[in-house]
Amino acid sequence: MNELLAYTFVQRGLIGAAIIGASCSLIGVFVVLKGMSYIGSGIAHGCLAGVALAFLMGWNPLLLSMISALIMVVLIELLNRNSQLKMDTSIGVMFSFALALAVLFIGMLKKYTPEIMTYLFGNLLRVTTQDLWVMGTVSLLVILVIFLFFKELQFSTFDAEKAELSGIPSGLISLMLSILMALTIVVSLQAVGELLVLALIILPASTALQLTTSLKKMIWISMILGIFASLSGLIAAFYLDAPSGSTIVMLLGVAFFTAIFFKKIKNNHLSRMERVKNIEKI
Amino acid sequence: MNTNTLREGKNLPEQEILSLSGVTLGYPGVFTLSQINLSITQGEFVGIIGPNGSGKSTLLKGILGLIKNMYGETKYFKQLDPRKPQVRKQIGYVPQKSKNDLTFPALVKEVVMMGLYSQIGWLHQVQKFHWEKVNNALSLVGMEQFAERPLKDLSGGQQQRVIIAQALVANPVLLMLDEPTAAVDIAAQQEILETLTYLNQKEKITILMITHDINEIVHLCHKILLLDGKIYFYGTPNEVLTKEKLKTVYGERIFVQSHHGHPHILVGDFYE
Repeated sequence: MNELLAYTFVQRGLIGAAIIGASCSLIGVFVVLKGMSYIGSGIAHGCLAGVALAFLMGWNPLLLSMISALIMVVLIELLNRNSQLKMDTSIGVMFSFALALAVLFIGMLKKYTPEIMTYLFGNLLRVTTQDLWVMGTVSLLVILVIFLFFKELQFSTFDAEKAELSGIPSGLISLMLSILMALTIVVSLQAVGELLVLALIILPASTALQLTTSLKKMIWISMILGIFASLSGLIAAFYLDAPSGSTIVMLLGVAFFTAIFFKKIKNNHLSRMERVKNIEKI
Repeated sequence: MNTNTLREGKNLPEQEILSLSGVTLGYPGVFTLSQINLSITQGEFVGIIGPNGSGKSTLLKGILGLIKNMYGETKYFKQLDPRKPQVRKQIGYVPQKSKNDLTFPALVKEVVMMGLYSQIGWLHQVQKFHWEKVNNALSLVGMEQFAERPLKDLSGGQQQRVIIAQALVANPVLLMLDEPTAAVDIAAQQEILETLTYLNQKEKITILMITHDINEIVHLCHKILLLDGKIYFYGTPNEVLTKEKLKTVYGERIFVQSHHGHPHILVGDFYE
């Protein structure tokens, strides 16, 4: 383990894993509770189109993926508001369009570009110091916004219409959440990849939801799980010589199914106790 | 008029709390309700009935400003527009049960506290006296002993009473409820109706309640509003719940019986 930590690229990878694990799992709590997972999928595909265009034109991939993710958020929102389509249909339309653009741009690349594979599957060990600064800044922003507007986020997630009536702009809160999710996806893309970033957002929060009945505890469990799985997944990837995105998500998947299993056992036990109580009453 | 005075003025002499004149509202391309005129006095319990799609929920949402496509005039205490954010947040509103995510990870007291967030304000923390208000609201609906329990562990009727407490915590003088007894068993229905009767009679809260079950509210309501788009009747239960009026919206198979001095509605083939 010590010899592993001697490599600076491993140190950078571990710091990156902890930062991404924390921010993805934090934003994931509200994404899961608000049922916004599919928007995340749309944003990730939008990012890929941006990255592909950046490689085609020789521009900065991070900047282009950020712009394309934000365009995706705005277009999904506009399409949803101005058509009578359901939200999932609006996302589906934009999702397919963005993916088609990404495939078109990749097809137009004249030379073989292996870097683009990093954006598809991710590689935490290729994270640079500059990447760490960007990840850290976005993560701090996500944590700060969620801490400052916790009350408003909580109410508009529980009941958007009632929150709106009481003076909390639920539409704006939802847009803010989409933008934060877009930024988180963009900075996580190179580390875990377009295909797995959504898992890092959804799985820790979904697991935490099985284990608690308090929103604050859900946030803590989700973040601890996100950080732990990202760090141990990266170490496992190093020893197994496997892609880190895959090992991280596999660990989170195991945690999720274990939580479901224990919840089921606990519920069965409680309902058995309830039946025994009822029989005793009779 | 200072809206804070209104909140504290539950014991003021009876006066018009809400009036609608020539209100027409609906969604793009379709007006669900047209030319509604009505006046509600402080302290009244008003039942809103009508077939599916008759505009009951649209009316409540229109009063609260949730429907933009609206003409006519609404007045709260003769002067204020209830659609203005400063005024509407003083009206308690309980939406249809399906609107709430009742598996949301929150304790009962936290759910009720959400009703105070607009008073607490952006970037401000919850204080001890806010929790006292939450306890008071929970005791009004008889749920104070459940404060520390997770919302999802409660029965349907108990959850609905918590949602009513959330609407009450900001101390409203007007409470509007959209089918609060739908999707709960008959024992829970009775609990909710008893809570509403207490709020109306002892706490002097004016109540507007949508329901499909006319018989459950007929003995509680001072007034009934029967809606069906362009058609509407408004008056005491005995005035509105007549066979002639009901059959215009529910069809010919409606039958009205007198039961302990209250109208009792039956549907089917009966011979008078």
